[in-house]
Amino acid sequence: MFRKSSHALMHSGGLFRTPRPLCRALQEALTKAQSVWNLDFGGTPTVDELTFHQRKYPSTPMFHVLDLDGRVVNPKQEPEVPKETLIKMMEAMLRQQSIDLILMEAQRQGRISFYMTSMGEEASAVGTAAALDMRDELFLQYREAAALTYRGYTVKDMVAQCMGTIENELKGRQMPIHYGSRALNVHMISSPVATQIPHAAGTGYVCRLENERETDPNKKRICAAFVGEGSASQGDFHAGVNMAATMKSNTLFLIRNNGYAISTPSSSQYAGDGIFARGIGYGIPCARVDGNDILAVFQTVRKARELIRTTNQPVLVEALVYRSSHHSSSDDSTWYRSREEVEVFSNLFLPVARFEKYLERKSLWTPEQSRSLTQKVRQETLAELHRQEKLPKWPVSSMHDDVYKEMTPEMHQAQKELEEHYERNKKEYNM
Amino acid sequence: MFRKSSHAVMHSGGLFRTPRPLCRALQEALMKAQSVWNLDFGGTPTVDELTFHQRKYPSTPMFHVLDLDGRVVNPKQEPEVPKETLIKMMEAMLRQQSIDLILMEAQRQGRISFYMTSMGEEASAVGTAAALDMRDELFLQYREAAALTYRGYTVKDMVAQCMGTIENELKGRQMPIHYGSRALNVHMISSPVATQIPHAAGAGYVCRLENERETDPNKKRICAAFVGEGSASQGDFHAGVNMAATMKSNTLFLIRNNGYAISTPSSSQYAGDGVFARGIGYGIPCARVDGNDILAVFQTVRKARELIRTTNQPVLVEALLYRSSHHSSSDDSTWYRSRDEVEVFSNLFLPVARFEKYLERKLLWTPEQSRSLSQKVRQETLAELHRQEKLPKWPVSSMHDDVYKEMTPEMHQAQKELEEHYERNKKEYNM
Repeated sequence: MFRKSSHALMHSGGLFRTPRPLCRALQEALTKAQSVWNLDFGGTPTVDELTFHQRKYPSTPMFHVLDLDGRVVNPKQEPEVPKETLIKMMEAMLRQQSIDLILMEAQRQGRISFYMTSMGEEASAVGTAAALDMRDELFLQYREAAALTYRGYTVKDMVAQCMGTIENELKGRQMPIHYGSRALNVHMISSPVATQIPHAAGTGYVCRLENERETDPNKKRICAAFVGEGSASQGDFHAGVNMAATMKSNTLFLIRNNGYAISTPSSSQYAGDGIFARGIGYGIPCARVDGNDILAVFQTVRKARELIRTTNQPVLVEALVYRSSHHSSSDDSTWYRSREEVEVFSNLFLPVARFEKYLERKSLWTPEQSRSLTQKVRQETLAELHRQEKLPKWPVSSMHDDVYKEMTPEMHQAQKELEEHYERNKKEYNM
Repeated sequence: MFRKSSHAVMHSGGLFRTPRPLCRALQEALMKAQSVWNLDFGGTPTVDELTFHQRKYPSTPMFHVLDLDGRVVNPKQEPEVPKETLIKMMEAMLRQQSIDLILMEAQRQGRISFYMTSMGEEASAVGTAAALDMRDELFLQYREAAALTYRGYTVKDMVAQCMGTIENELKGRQMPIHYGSRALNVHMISSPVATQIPHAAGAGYVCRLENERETDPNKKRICAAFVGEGSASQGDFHAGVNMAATMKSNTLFLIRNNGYAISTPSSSQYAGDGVFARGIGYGIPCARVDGNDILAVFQTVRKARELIRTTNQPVLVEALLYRSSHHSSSDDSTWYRSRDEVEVFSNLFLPVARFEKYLERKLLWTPEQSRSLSQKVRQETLAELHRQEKLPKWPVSSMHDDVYKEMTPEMHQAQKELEEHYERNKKEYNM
C-alpha cells in the first residue's frame, strides 16, 4: 500500500478546528495518501479557511552566551571548554588579526597581488573550528583563514601561498588567500562561490556511510561548509542543502551573515528571515547565533555536531557578524556604506575584546599577553615576508603539473614549448 | 546612520523572556544594527538558551472548499464565480481529459512521437487559469495544457504541434506538448525544467514596473509560473524565487506537487514541509491548497493575485495532487509504484467528478453534458489527427529560420546546402 508515514497519527490538538463531519471522508483519504507528498498532517490535512503564511516579523533571535563586557548571561549555557582550548581560541583570533593587518598592508605596498581579511569575523571561524574535531573535513569560502590558523596552518604557509613561492605546496597557481591543506583536512579554496556546498553535501554523505559502520562514537566525523550569506543565493546552495537533507549527509552548514556581499546589502540579497529560515524550508535543524560571541558559536557548533552524528541529518547554523573591513583589497567600502556605520559596528561588538574580558575574569589571560602575541605575530609575518621575497617562485614548467594525474603527451609537448619560450625570453619575464 | 528598519520597534510580548538587565547594552546594540542583516527582532534580538529549530511535524494543512462529494464545507469560503466561468472551467477539464486520451493512444500507435497527459491534474491548471486574467503572462512546465485549453488553445493547435505539421506556428521544431501562444500570452514551453522560473521572476518584475505606473487597478497584470515539485529542486527555482522576493516581482509561483518526479518519490525530493516551506524561507506569502479541488485552487489563486498586486511581492501556492498517469509515453510507472496506489488515488480524489457534482447541485451541469462533450472532443481530436496526417510538414529549409532575427550569411549557406542535400536524397527521407 502506501509508504509508511514516519510519525504515528495523532491530532495536533488545538492548532486547527476539528474537521466538520461532512468531510471526514476527505480527511481520511488525505491522511491515508499523505506519504505520497512526504508530509504528515498529524490527522488534520485540510483547513476550510484560506490563509497565506508569511514569516517576516519578528526575526528569530540569535543565541548568545557573553554580553558586550564578556560576562556570561546564562550560566547553564556556558560551555565547558578545557583551559588550553580557550587559550588556543584566543591565540588563533589574535594571530589571524595580526596576520591580516600585515598582509593587507603588504598588498597596499604591491608585495602581494590581492588580500582579504577576516576583520570582525574571527570569532565565528575560530569558535567553529574549536568545536569540531581535527578529522572533520572543512570546506571554506575565503574569509575563514582563522579556522585554518586554529588548526595549525602557519604564517609561513600563508605567506608562501599569498606570494606563490617555492614553499607553497599549491605551486602558486591560485590567487592569494586560496588556502588548503590535506594534512589539516581543509579542502582547497576556489573562487566560484557556493560550489563547495554540494561538495560538502557529498562528503557529508560519505561521512554518514562511514559513520554508520563505525562502532566507536568518538571516531564518527562530520563535514563542515562555510558559506557567506551572498553565496547562499547561488543555485548550488539550494542543490547542496537539499541534497544533504534528502541524503542525510553528516554536514554542518555554517553561514557567515556579515550583512554585505561586496556592495550588496542583505536587503537586496534576501527578503526572508535571513538564511536561517531557508534551512527550515529544507526540513533540517537550524540555529541562529551571535557570530561575535565565540562561546555562543562554540556551543552551537558543538551541539550541532552531536545532533548531526546522532540523528543523521545536516544542520544549518547562521552566525550574525559584521564585515568590518573592505570586501577585499580591490574594494573601497566607503562607496556604499558610511564610515560611521563601520565605526559603530567595529566598536560595538568587538569579538576579540569580548572574549579577552571573559578570559581575564577566569584569570586565563591578560591584556599584556594580547599585546605580546600580537607584536610577535606581526614581526613573524613581516620577517616571513622578507624571507620569502628572496625565495624563487615555482618553475614555469610547474604550470602543466597536476592538470590530470598523469601528464598527457600533448601536455608534455606544451610544457616543453613553454620552457623553451621562457629560456629564449627570460629577460622579458624577470623585469 | 543605519538603514531604517521597515517595522516599528516593539517588544513581541510573551514570546521570549525579558532580557536580563545585564545584557541590555547588547540588546540595544543589536536593535540598532539589525537592519544590516535585513532582520527585525521586534525588540528581542537574542536568547540565552540554545534552540535548534526544525519544522517537520505536523505539515501545513491544505485549503479546500469542496468535500469528496462536491459539497461546500465552509460557505464563507465558497468563491463567487460567474456561471459562465464555472461552465467554462468544467468544459476545459473535460476537453483536456478527452484530448489526452486520444493523443496518448495516438502515440502508442506511432502516430506522434511523444506525449504527456494531465490526468488527475486538470483542476489545478484550470482553476489557476480561470482565476487569472487573460492578459496575465503564463510560463508553463509541460503538464498544464488544460490551462491553455481554458484560454482557447484548440484541438487543432495541439494536434498541429504534436505532429509538427505546416499548421503549427512553431514550425515543428520542438517535441510534442511543447505548446505556446503569443496571442494567448502563454510563453513557449521548453524541456529544461525550472528555467521558466527566473524568466517569470523577470517578467513579473516588468509587470511590477508597469503596474506602478498604471492608474487603473483593473489593468494591473501579473505573471504566473507553473512548477512541478521535482523542478523545485533545481538551482533555477532558488534563483528565481529569491530574485522575485527581493525585486518585488508581481509573480505567482504555482507548484504542482503530484508526489513524483518520474520515478522519484517526494521522500527523495525533499525533507521539509513540501515546497511550501521554502517559500516561507524566501520571505514571501505562501498557501497550500487541495489541487484536486478546483474551487479551492480558484479561490487561492484569485486571492494570491490580489495580494501580489496590492503588496508588490510574489506569492507561492503549492497545490497537492497526484499524477494518475505515467510520467510520459516513455514511462511505465508500474515499475516504481503499485497499481493499487494509482487506483486508490484515481478513485479517491476525482477532481473532475467532484466539480461535476458541485455543478449538478447548482443545476448548471448534467452527467449527460459530460458524456456528450467528451464524445464530441474525442471525435474532434480523432478527426483532426486524420486531417493533419495528410498535411505536409514544414519544409526542411525552415530548420534555419528564427535562430536569429536576421539570417546570417553562414546560415543562408547552410540552408542552401541542406535544401540541395534534401533534393538529392529525397527518396531516403520519405520512406
